Amino acid sequence: MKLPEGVGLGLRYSFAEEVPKKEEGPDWFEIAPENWMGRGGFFRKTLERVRERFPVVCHGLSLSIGSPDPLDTDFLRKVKAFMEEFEIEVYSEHLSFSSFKGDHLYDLLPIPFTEEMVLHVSKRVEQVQEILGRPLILENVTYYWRMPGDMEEWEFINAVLEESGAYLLLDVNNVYVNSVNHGYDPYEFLKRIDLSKVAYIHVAGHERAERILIDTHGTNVKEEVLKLLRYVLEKTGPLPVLIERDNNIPSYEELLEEVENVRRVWSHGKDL
Amino acid sequence: MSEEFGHMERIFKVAKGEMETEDPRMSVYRTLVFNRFYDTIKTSFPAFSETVGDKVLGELVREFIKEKHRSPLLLDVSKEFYDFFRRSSDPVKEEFPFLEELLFLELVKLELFTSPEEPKRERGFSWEGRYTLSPTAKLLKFRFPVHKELSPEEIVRNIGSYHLLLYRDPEEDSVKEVELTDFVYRFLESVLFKGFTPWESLDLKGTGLEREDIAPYLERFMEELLRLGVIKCTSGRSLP
Repeated sequence: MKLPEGVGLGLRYSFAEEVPKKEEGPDWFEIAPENWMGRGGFFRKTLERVRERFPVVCHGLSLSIGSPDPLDTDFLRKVKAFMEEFEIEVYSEHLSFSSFKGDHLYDLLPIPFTEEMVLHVSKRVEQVQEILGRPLILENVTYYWRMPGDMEEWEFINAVLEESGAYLLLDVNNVYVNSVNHGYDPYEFLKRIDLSKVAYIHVAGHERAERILIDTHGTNVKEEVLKLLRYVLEKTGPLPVLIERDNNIPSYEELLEEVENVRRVWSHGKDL
Repeated sequence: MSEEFGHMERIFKVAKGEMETEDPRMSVYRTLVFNRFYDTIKTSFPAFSETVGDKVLGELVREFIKEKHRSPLLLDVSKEFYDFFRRSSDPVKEEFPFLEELLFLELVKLELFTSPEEPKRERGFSWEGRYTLSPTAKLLKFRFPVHKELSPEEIVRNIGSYHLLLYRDPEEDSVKEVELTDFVYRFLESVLFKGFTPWESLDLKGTGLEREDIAPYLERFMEELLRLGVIKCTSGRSLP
C-alpha cells in the first residue's frame, strides 16, 4: 500500500471540475467511493482528469464496520472494482456503524467500547481486508453520546488495531471535539493512542451547537486542532494530512489557501 | 454481545425517529440523520422542494427516514423518495396535483445525469433503418407542464398533454430537454419502441401534412438525435 505524501484535500463536486485546470493544487485528493462509483458523464470524466494529475485515496462512508449485520460483500466488491479501475490503492473507513438490520442511515453512529466489540469489529476487518486485498485503515469518529462500555476510547481503538491488523486514520479534529464534549485532555488521549499505526491524518472544522461541539466539516480548521496536528506530526514525522470540507464549501481558491495553511504545519513536522 | 447490539439498536431507532429520547446528546443523531436526508432530497429535487416549501418538505423527510433504506449508496434515496411520495397520501398532493409528475421529471434528470452509460454518437440516418433510444435519453409524456418555469397555479391551469425528450448532452454532460409536438412524439414512439422503420412510422392521417413537407424536417431532426447519441441504430445504414 503506497500512501500519498503531503497535504491532501477531500474532492467535492462543487469544485472538482476546476481541479485539473489549475496549476497549483493540494498534493493529493481523497474521495468517498460511494459518491463516484457507478456513475458516468460528469463524474467519470472529472475523476479521470483529477486522477491523471493527482494521487487519490478512497474514504468510504457505508461499510458500517461495527454493524451486527453481515458485511455487504457485493458492495465491497464494487468498491474494489472501482478502486482497481481508477488505480486507487488506499481505502479507509470509519470505526462506527451506519446500518442495522439491512437499513441504512448514512451517518456515523457510535459503537460500544467493549472487548466483545473489539472481537466483532476485528473479524469484520479481516473479512474486508481479504475481499479488498489490502489493509483497511479505520478512522476514530466523533461521538456525541457515549455508549455503555467498559473500555476507554483509546483503549478500544488500540485493541481493534492490534487484533485486526488495521491501520489508523487519526482524525485530530475528532479527537479535539470528543475531548471537549466528554471532558478529557486531547494530548493525554494522543499519548495513549498507538501512533505507530497511523497511516494518515484528517483535519477539519467544527462548530459549537448549544453545549457541545459538532464535527460539521463546515469551517476552516481551528487553531486548537492545528496545534494538535503539530503535536502528532512532531511524534510521528511527516504523515499525509487530509483536509475535509463538506459544508459551506468555499471556492477552490479559498480551499487552496487552507491547504497552504495546513502545509505550513506539515512542513514544520517534516523539518523535525 | 446482545447487550452491545441492544444499545446500538436503541441509538439507531432514535436516529431514525422511531424511538424517543430525553437525552439531548443522543438526539443529536436524529438531527444529523435528518439533515443528511433533507439536504439530499432538497438537492436532488430543487423544484419539488421549492413548491412544497421547507416545512412540508421537513415533514415528508421525517416520515421518509422511517422507511427502510436498503442501498449503501445515499444517491439511491432519491428514487426511494419518489416511490415513497407516490404511496404517500399527504394533503400537499391535493394542493399541488402535479407534484408526482414534477418529482418524476427531476428524478429522471438526476438519473440521466448520473447514468454510468455514455451516449454514443452516430451519423447517417436512414428511413429504412431501425432505431432504439439510448440509455442516456428518455421519452416522456406529462399531463402538467412541469418542465416549464410557471407558478403552481399556472401549472394546474395548463393541464393538458405534454411530450418531452430528455437526454444527456455528450459534450457538456448536462441533461437537456426538448418539448415535442404530439405528432413527433408518436413518430418517435413508433420508431423507438414499436420496431417500425421511420418510413413505416410516418403516419400523416389527420395531420393535413404531406410527406415531402415533413420528411426533410424529420430527417434533420433524426440526424441530430444520432449525432447527440440520443438514439442508436440497430439495423440499416449508420456511420460511427
